[in-house]
Amino acid sequence: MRLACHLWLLAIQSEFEPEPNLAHPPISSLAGTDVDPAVVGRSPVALEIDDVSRVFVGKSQSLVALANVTLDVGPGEFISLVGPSGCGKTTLLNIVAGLMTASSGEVRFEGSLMTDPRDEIGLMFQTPTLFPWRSAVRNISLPLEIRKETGFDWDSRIAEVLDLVGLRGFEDHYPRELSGGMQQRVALCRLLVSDPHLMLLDEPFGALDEFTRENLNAELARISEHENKTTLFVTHNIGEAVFLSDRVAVMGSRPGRILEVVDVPLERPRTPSVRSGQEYTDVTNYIRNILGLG
Amino acid sequence: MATHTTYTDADLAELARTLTPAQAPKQSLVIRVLASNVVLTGATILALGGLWQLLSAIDPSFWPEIVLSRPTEIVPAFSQAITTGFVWENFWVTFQEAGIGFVIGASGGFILGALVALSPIFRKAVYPVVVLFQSTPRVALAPIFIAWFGFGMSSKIGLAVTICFFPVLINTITGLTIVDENSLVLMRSLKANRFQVFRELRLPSAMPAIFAGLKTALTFAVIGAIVGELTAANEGAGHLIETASFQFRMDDVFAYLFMLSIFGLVLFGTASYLERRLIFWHNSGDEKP
Repeated sequence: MRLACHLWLLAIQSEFEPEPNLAHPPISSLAGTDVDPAVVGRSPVALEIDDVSRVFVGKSQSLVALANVTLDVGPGEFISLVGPSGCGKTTLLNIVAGLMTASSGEVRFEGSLMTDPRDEIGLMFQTPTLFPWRSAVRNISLPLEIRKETGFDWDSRIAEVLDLVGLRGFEDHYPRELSGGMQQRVALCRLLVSDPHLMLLDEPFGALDEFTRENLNAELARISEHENKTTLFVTHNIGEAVFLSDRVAVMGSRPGRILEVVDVPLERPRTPSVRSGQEYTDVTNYIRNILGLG
Repeated sequence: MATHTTYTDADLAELARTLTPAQAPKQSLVIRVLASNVVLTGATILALGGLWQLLSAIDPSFWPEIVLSRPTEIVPAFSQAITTGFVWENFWVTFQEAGIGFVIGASGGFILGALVALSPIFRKAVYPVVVLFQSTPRVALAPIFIAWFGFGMSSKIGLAVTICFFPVLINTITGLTIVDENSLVLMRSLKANRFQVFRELRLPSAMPAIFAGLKTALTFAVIGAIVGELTAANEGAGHLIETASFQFRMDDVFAYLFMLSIFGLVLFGTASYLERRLIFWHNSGDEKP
């Protein structure tokens, strides 16, 4: 069964020749023509997740949240972690963010071991997590204030990210005056403002309605292609994962682990019309299959 | 595909103008005045006063004038009280006692609350004692404070301090402790230090709770001062009330009580105004665009 799927995926990939895209090199073209997930992304690597496990020790029983997860992410690569609740997606993200320690295994980012949060890593949550007493622009400048950033002009950098997400004119609005989608855009600005090398997005659009979600998906696709940042994107929405990612790590629960890493051979730039194409449907169905959704 | 009409901003403005519903028939000035808060509240007060007057007129033996004055006597007593310098002098004493007590008690409550909320060791050491002390009815401390600080203002200030200390303390602890979990994670991912987390996150997010405590404390401070004066004093509003009631000048007692109510109302109104200005971002019913 698994072999059949592989062959079938190889078949659809051979039909598709990715155009060279310098801004966003498809990882398969970097690693050669072999699409074996173990080989894809081996060189060059931005983020190495090496045999990471995490056990939560409880009073009566312990829970294995993650078991032997290994994943290499290339620079500028967009990878989604997809899976049911309890598959350890968020745990993995927290470990990568340096907010949680692994029970075993290690995470290396740009060659050095992750132990604590780092300036090069930006985080975004399902809730916008804006400070209601700060205006949009002051929420965006929060990371700069906390880190006492110097060496560049804050105002022009803030203006840049505001333009990037289309928030110009809303600088002085307070979070309560903004819709859910707008609030999440502000949160995205706050992440982008310090120009992180790695973006960790934990279901950022999970609480939004379908229209807003698809809108922001398109925005994020555009921004990630423009900024070319390494991204780990946690979601339980398969369509969203396929639309955005270079590769999708499909995760399973009990114990939390990666079942398979699926290549997404869709052309960039990704525009909403991608969703009506056959390849999009094929990859989506393939992932649904892995997850036992038929 | 795109067969729909596209609207420009100007089109939309025009559309909004044409679709604005016809103006509802304007209510007459008389109706608007009659329906205003001031008028309605005033009407309620008048109705209660009328009922009071009526009951005392129906059965004068059940409502003897000597223990329950009638509104018709209280109103002149009130207007006399607010025009007497001697009365104002005494209220000024009470105001100072409550004010100084509030400032000391509230600051102390805030500082101790912040220490308890931010230091686990301090919390373990101090918090149980605080809870024990809080369960003591503090007005019962009035005689002790009189014994310690004498008949003057300081014993009343002391009582006001102990009473208004606790609501601020408890609310400060609660406010600084209950902070949005994701915001804390965000601050941690930004490597914010403890002071930054306090100044940028904990303190602002605790402001609504702290302000609620301050508003309670404001009322409590006046209670503390009055209770102290009722116990033993030679000046202040509580002293006036006690003297008047011993002399069966019930109309004056009620006049002083009304003055105290208005005094409290002004204090509370000022606090609410400050709260709305300072914590403008909290619980607002603004429409989203």
